[in-house]
Amino acid sequence: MPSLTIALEEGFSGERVTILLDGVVVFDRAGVRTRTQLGSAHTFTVEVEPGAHRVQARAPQAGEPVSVEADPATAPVVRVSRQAAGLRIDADDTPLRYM
Amino acid sequence: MAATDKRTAEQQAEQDEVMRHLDEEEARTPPRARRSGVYLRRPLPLPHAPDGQAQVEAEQAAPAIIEIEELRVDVDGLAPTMTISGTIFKLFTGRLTWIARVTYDPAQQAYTGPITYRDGPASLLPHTQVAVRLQGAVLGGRTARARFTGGGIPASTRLYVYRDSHFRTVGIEFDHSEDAALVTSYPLHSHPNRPVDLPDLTLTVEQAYSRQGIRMNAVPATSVIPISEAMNDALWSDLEMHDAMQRHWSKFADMPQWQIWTLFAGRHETGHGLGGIMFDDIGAAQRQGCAIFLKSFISDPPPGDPDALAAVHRMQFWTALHEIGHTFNLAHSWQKSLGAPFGSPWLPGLADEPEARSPMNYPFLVSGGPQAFFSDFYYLFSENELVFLRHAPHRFVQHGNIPWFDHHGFEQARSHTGGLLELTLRVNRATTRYEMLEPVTAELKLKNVSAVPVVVDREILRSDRLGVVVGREGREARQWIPYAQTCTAPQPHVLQPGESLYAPLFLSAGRSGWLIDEPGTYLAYAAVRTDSGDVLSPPLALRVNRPASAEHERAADDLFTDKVGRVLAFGGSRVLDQEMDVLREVAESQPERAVTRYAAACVARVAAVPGRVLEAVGDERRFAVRSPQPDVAERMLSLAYGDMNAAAETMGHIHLAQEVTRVTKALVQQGDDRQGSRLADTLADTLEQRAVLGSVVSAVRRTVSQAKQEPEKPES
Repeated sequence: MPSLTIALEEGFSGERVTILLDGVVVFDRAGVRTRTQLGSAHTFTVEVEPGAHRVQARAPQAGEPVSVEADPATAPVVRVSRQAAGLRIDADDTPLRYM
Repeated sequence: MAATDKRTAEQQAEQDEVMRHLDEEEARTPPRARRSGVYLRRPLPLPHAPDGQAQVEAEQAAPAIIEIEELRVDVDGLAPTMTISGTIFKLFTGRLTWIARVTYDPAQQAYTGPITYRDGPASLLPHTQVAVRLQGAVLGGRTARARFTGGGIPASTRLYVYRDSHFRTVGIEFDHSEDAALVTSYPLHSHPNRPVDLPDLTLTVEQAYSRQGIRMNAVPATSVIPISEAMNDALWSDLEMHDAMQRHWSKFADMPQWQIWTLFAGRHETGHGLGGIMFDDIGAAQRQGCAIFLKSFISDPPPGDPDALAAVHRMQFWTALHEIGHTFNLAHSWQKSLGAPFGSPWLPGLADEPEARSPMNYPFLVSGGPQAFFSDFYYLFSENELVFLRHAPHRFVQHGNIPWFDHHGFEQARSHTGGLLELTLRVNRATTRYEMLEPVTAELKLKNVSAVPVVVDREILRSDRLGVVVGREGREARQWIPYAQTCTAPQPHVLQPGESLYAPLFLSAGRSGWLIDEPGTYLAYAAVRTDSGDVLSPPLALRVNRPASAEHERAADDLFTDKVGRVLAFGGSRVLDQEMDVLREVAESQPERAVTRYAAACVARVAAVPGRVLEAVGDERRFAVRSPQPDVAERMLSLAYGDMNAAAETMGHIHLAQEVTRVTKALVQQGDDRQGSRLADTLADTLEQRAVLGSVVSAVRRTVSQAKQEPEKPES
């Protein structure tokens, strides 16, 4: 079955983060924290039906929710970061790589 | 002429000669030979001059008591950052690091610039400008003459002599797991995509750092770590790597040190997407260990690459440079400006460097990806990173010092005796972590490290020529003042090459109060003034753990008093009964705690050894002999020395030997040969196992026979 990999990356310092896939909560956790030596806070994978899906990220402490269209065939990796201006979400096919 | 005046005149004459020679050596342009590196302040006064201003400067230039000053010049060689910085350490005042960005001023024939950064007490250098003139031939005596101006105070000129071409010196150990190999070098021309002028050499990790001013020395031994240590899944977790680091790293110590452990392993439990990690971001002494995972994406051949094998080799080598960079507290290139709550940049206004061709940037994140990155990558850190590595306060950079990412992106002490003597302040135990309440008895060692005999006062380590400072993180450093100060005529002693003097030091408390009490991290320095010059010890870092229980914590109220400090320092009292009761109670109620060994030793000594007490009866004062209490002594001896190795850990070798031999003699002289012999033998065996000098062990073994020949003498 196809899947989406969702990565919480830079900028988290203990916030509660909620990820919704097509309106359904697939991740909801407090205390999300970026390990700065990696630029990564948490990564998980969800199985999905083929086709486009809407992924939404919420972190009330970081401002407005953000969302992106992600298709496991073309953009199976979703990255969420917290920046000065608020949350940022992107989807593409670049594999996750940390060092 | 008095001897002192004569010596001063001689020093001034010598200094005059040095300065005259330097003045004759005109520098027309910036020096051609590489002169960057570390310079140490020459501990001589500048010459007197007839005008008052120069006189003021000369007086300021004379180093104060136990003041050590280092100048770091970074103006030529590979990747100069045009920075001059310095560290000033002054006993009882603290340590200042200052930094100036400089340009060459042909008119002054000096590198000049404003002092823009200070960390530490500004009173150590209130000036705002510096001009540094470099003189001397490469093979001759290279010197730096720095003139400090501004700040509303008279100018000051100081002379420094060249010491080292590298700004830091670091040890590194490379180990690998069974399913991985070391990748510690890379032939720079093996891949065709590279800068056209990249030198054709095989670069090692050590060379990559050393050529940039950070001397890196690899430990020859390499451990091969069984994959079983990654448990059944053969995937490494951070905790498993931390355990492996403690088990296999020959230099492991839970304290700040210029040492790094690098593990080459198969795969991290996170998966294929983790190429490496500086995993050591837990606990007190962080940033000592990192790992590179060869069964990760860094070993994936890049699609379409003309030389995929070399590209993989290069990426593995690059990852090693990158992870080791994290151990120096270097952040990723795009994180340089990150502040609270992630820590803080070490310089305000530090900018991100998303396009930097640095080991700290991800090649695949720059515009144009790895192709663009490696076509312009010279295996150098960015300028800001080099300023940090070469000039930042050492605690920001040193491994095991401040936590990871704190100021991302006390210095090794130097001797002023011309290298004749070396002073060490140490503890005789594997760990420098102490239980709360556990008294800290350190050991001083003054060693003749020269090839010629040196005359010192035999009692110098117990005299007022010894100075000690203890500082707790987040608290002002305080001077340690002993409860008792000996005042004796100097006893000249010839210290042969390699020979040492030793003395125990009850560091926890003194007349200035309890210096080591609450949980936290402490740094202690010692210094002695010898006729050959002042000698400063490297810092001794200690950590006091949190209390193990509420009862353990409650005992602090009774223990951390001036009088209990005195009793512990003197090893017992026949007068301070209330304080002795406190120690007896601690020993009996908390037998499992380390403080019990100390407390019980105090009580045991008073109970086992007969002693005299000055008593007042009316107007009359007379000594009364207190008899031993064998029952109390036996119980307390068991608590104190039942585990002699543990007692050695807590009390230190010298103090332990003194206490046990004193009690042994008393027992033997009271007819308890069995108990006395058992104590002396156990102590001797323990010291032997702990590699104490054979002469000390032999002396302990002779204690019983000696005691039989000596008359019984009550302690006063």
